[in-house]
Amino acid sequence: MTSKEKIFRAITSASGQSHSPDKVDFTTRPRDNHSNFQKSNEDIIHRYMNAVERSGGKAFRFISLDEMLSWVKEFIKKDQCSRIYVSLDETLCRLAESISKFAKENDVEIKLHKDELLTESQRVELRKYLEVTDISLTKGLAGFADTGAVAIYSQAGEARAATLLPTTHICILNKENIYHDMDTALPVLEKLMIEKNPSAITFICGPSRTADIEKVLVTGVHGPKNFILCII
Amino acid sequence: MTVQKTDTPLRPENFFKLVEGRIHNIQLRRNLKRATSTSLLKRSEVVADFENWEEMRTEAYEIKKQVIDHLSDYLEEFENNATKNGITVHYAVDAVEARNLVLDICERCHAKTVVKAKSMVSEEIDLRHALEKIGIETIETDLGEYIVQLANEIPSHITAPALHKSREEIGELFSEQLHIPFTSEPEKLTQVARNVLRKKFLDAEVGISGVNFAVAKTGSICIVENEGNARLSTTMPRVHIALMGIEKLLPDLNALSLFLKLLARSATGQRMTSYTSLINGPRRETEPDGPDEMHVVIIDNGRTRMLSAEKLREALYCIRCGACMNVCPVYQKIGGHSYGSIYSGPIGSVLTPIFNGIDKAKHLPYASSLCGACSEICPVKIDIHHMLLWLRKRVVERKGSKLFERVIFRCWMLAMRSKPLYEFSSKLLRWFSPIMVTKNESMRIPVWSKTRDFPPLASQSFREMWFRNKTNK
Repeated sequence: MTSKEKIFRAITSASGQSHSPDKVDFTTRPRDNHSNFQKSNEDIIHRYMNAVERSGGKAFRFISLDEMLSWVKEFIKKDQCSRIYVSLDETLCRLAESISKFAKENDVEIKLHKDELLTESQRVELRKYLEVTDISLTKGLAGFADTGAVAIYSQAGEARAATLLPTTHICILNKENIYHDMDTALPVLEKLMIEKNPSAITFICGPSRTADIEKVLVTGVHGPKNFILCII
Repeated sequence: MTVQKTDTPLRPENFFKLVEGRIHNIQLRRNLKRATSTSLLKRSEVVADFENWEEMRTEAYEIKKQVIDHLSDYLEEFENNATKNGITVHYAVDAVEARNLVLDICERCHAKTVVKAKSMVSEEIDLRHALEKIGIETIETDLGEYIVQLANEIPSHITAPALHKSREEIGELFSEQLHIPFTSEPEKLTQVARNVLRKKFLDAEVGISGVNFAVAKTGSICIVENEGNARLSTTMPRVHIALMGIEKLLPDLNALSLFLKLLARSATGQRMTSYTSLINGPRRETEPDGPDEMHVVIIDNGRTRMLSAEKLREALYCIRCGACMNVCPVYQKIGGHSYGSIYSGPIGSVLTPIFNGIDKAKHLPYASSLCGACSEICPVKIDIHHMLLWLRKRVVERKGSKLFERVIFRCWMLAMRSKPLYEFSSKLLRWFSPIMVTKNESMRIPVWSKTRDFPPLASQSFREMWFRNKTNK
């Protein structure tokens, strides 16, 4: 008997002693989501930004892509960093040239990651680059106003390590993609799973943190120390 | 004040000795009080987000009940979908088999270094020692677990493994083991750990993680964390092995969304942890990074025993949040190590007798005042304190209690059944108490008083006061 068979046998003989009702599909039961958030009249974007700040991240709102670009440039200058990474999705593609020029002028090394298939050696090179990157700039899929979290997913054109290894992670999100909570965004997530089947979907809520030493909060343990969300 | 290290081995059989060694430790009790009260305060703040928290608990209970009642169906569904996603699914009946499965995978990919994210089940099967025995460097990457590993101890709490250590103790530990100048600042100590562990993440061939939830419908696993070490352990190495108990399943993403709301709030008082990873499989061909190989090991190791005991079945619903530990008045005084088991506190006192055998852990169901705070706080509505009571019955049935105790309880039962006998006994106790009173006026009872204070007896019983007042009117 295989181990699976042994375990299933044990489960069946255990269940045989109790009478299990038929399976219920819980998804068809309406979930009563009367959380206090939804009752508030606060604008959802405002609520989301507060939630991001509350979770230890920083949130900024920009009217246009250009406005955001000038803020990013200023941030890079202030940070005095030496290496940045930009994941080029359709939105960030438009910034590619301008930010590239800015980086060259300010002596900052830049890696623009296009949506394309990489060879083994290119992947190794990318990883080595990310090990010493200071700031990464990527695009988010969806935001949840109740927690201040943002959903990202693994894809060509964005390394998983890009939102893990650098000291600062800046995530861009379209304001239309902000939802009340994960429940409301479930159809989007399910669609993503079916259409793209990414290896990982990650929900990021603030910077890396720990309170393992005397319950004192410290940020930037293993992941990014700074998490910044830019809404456009 | 440094913690006095007792030489008593950490085993549930040694409960009384372990408690004795810790109950008088003021520093430990201060650490515990601070940590548990902070967690509880933060928890109540975020639970207040929901008017319908009780309904959420009920729904969670019903979802878990359904999963456990139809466990083979859900396991089969998970296995099929996970396999379609490129995950290799293994089953292990017991700890030996689970360890061997992991060792085989590690040997096959010539692993020299393994990075480990937090996994209670990996402690249960004692995986780390098995890997180290065959010469594989195994690093705990969760900061608390890393500290505990350096100190060669076991974790004392489910979500805060180094809860029992002060910053000075950790500073000394780092200074000794990592050869750095002494500092006790949490920020600096964390930075040291970050630098040391970063290198390990990048060099390791294999990453091992636990599983918070396994989603049957999508064949994915979900890992919840704050530090980023689980993401790093499951992204950087070429091979990822995830370990899970058979009971970790949820039906679909809808259920996952509910459980994520309950877990972080109950465990650390956060609305959401910094990182929640929903991992569907190894790296896709078009993706630039991620593990090339992913395994999930589904472990029984005594869980089917819990299934067959009707009264204990609910213990399988546990999502390992640790809330019951934080609120338990006993845990708050004695800490996790006193239980001598990796599963401590109220739920640990149910799980340990099942995993280790009721005879070895017979003291644990008694490490409770039966106040029921654990059952009230449990996000999945597990009736923990009634399980502890039931386990006590089993211990007595197996003649696990002392004769002296049985005699005392028989006397107590007789006194409680008879009003004159009860009144006489209480008067007798108060007449004789001056013999047993010490300087600070608390009563000394042989053996019992070694780890407990008995408050001084009042001069009148409540009944006497009541009748005296009545007649005075």
